Amino acid sequence: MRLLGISAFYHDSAAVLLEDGRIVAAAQEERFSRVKHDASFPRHAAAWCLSQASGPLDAVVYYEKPLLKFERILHTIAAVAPRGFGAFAAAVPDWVHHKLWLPAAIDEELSRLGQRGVPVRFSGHHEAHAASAFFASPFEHAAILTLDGVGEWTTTALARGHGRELEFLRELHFPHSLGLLYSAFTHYCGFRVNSGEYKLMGLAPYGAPRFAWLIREHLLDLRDDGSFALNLDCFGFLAGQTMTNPHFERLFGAPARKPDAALTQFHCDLARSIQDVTEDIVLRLARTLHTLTGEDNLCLAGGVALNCVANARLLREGPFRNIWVQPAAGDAGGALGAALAYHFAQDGAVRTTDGRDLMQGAFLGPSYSDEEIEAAIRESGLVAERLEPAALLDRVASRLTSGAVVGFCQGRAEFGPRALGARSILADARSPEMQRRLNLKIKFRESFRPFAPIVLAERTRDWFEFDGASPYMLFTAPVAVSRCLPVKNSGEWSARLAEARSAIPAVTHVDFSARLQTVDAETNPALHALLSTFERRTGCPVLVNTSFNVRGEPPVCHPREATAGFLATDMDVLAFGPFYLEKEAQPPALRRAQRSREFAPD
Amino acid sequence: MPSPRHLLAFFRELFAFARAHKAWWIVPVIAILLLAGLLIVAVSAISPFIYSLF
Repeated sequence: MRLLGISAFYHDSAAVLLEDGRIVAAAQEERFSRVKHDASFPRHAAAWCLSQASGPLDAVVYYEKPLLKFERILHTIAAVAPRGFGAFAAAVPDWVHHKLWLPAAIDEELSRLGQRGVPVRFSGHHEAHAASAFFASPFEHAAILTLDGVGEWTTTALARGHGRELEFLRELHFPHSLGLLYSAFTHYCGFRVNSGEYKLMGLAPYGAPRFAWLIREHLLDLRDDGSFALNLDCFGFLAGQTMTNPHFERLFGAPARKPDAALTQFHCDLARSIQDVTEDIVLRLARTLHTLTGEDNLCLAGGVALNCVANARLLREGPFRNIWVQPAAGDAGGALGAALAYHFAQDGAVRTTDGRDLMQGAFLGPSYSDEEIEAAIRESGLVAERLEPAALLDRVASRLTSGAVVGFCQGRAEFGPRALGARSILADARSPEMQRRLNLKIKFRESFRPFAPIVLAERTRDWFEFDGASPYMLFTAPVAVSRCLPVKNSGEWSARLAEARSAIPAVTHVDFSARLQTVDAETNPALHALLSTFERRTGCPVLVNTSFNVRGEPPVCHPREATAGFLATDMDVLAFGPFYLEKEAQPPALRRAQRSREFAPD
Repeated sequence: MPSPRHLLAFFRELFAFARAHKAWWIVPVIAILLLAGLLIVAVSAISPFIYSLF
């Protein structure tokens, strides 16, 4: 059976091609359209997925049930009337003109791609998340926890997966949502909702949880089993189009931060407080789920599952022995989940597990031939050398050792929000200046934001307090005590940034944690070989890994985007496939012309 | 404007949804919204011709 999973019209639209339960291709629309978090119909991603298909489609599966979602919106409008007229006026025309006609729109789009008359099916939003978490996991049976802002009505689902069955045990419904609560604080701290949540998470270690009691006391009615009700008097998302309202601002004694205003200790403390409350809720839900299912394995999905700090605490303190998190845990992964849910609901579908997940390292996106890469380099006017694999790795490792920042693009692009070595920027984690340099000169982003380490899987224990694997960068772990340095830990939060905390300061956050990616030779051979080469030269099997994008843009996909990013930033080296480019070797006019570029806010 | 086939499929789905979720109220609400949408589109289409008379 050949299925196309689609997620679209909210944020992070994506398409996934599934053939007999195997993921053939998966990509987010933003990688093609170059619009970050693109929510439009994923016509480029779908076209690319269909180009990888071995025959015509049997069905298209959309990741939500539009009528159920519209019912929720109408219910909400009626419940808050007449206050919500603005929200009503903003939402309804879009529904009347577009979203109610989704089957027709999908039919039309697919006809353009040469697939006429393909049946369109719908999965529930959290059913899609649960399916993406469980069916893609390495477990034969597991408990499943999905947490996000909202789908149709469900905001949190507790479920059990066994073989090809999903059984939903408990749900929390809109407007009581952990995702929306976290997003309300994201908005209040001046970051973009559905985009800046990870910034809030990165800010949390600079603060103290001095507002956690206020959140528990006034914003939430949190019960022992992890279920909760929000105090709707303090939120704006029911009746308006903002996340918070004046009651919320009065509670914390300050107006919402404007995006370009300075971050203060107050915002750090807020970030830490909501992070603590989030972790508390996730832990309580996990304990309830463990009691309900008795399972040792847990699968996570939904946007909240991208909170790697909460995931790590769940692994450390929670009741489950094994945790697997869907790497595309947000709505993009809904496209995969919708297709998987439909596939395994069919008679005769068989699910077998062999100890590995279905995600193939998340390298499910487009790749480009050597000829295509060479043509893109030639078109951009850049000068490149073509090297053998071993020579390329040796040259890149040598330049990393000397402090260079390297764009590293090899094989198929990643599916999901994390760069895992296929479209990455790499640098030496031992350098004390590297975090600042990467933030300000390469990524053009806030200086407080931490970078993630990649480490050879077999050397993880030598550098981090972490057992097991974290191939998708979805858990944090403390840097090994033996690698840490004594610090003063005093002064303003921004002053603590500059202090070196370990032998790998570029990836050590202020609380000595790191968002870890373990690299094994089987799923990520190119990156594993590079880390091994770097370790032979330096004795250190750790590098900085950050997504190859610049502020306000999605990660690069095509070689022409990589060459543009290479020129637009202070990156020293680009290695795309077998081609090696040195910034210093490029024509000076080309370098100067590209420097004056402006970047969109993220 | 959706084709008659898609319109038919939509109303079939709408009635199935209302029956399954015991939410019959949604049928007239959506019908009114669609009629309002149709009216707006129709008025936008004919208004240039009306004003050209004066």
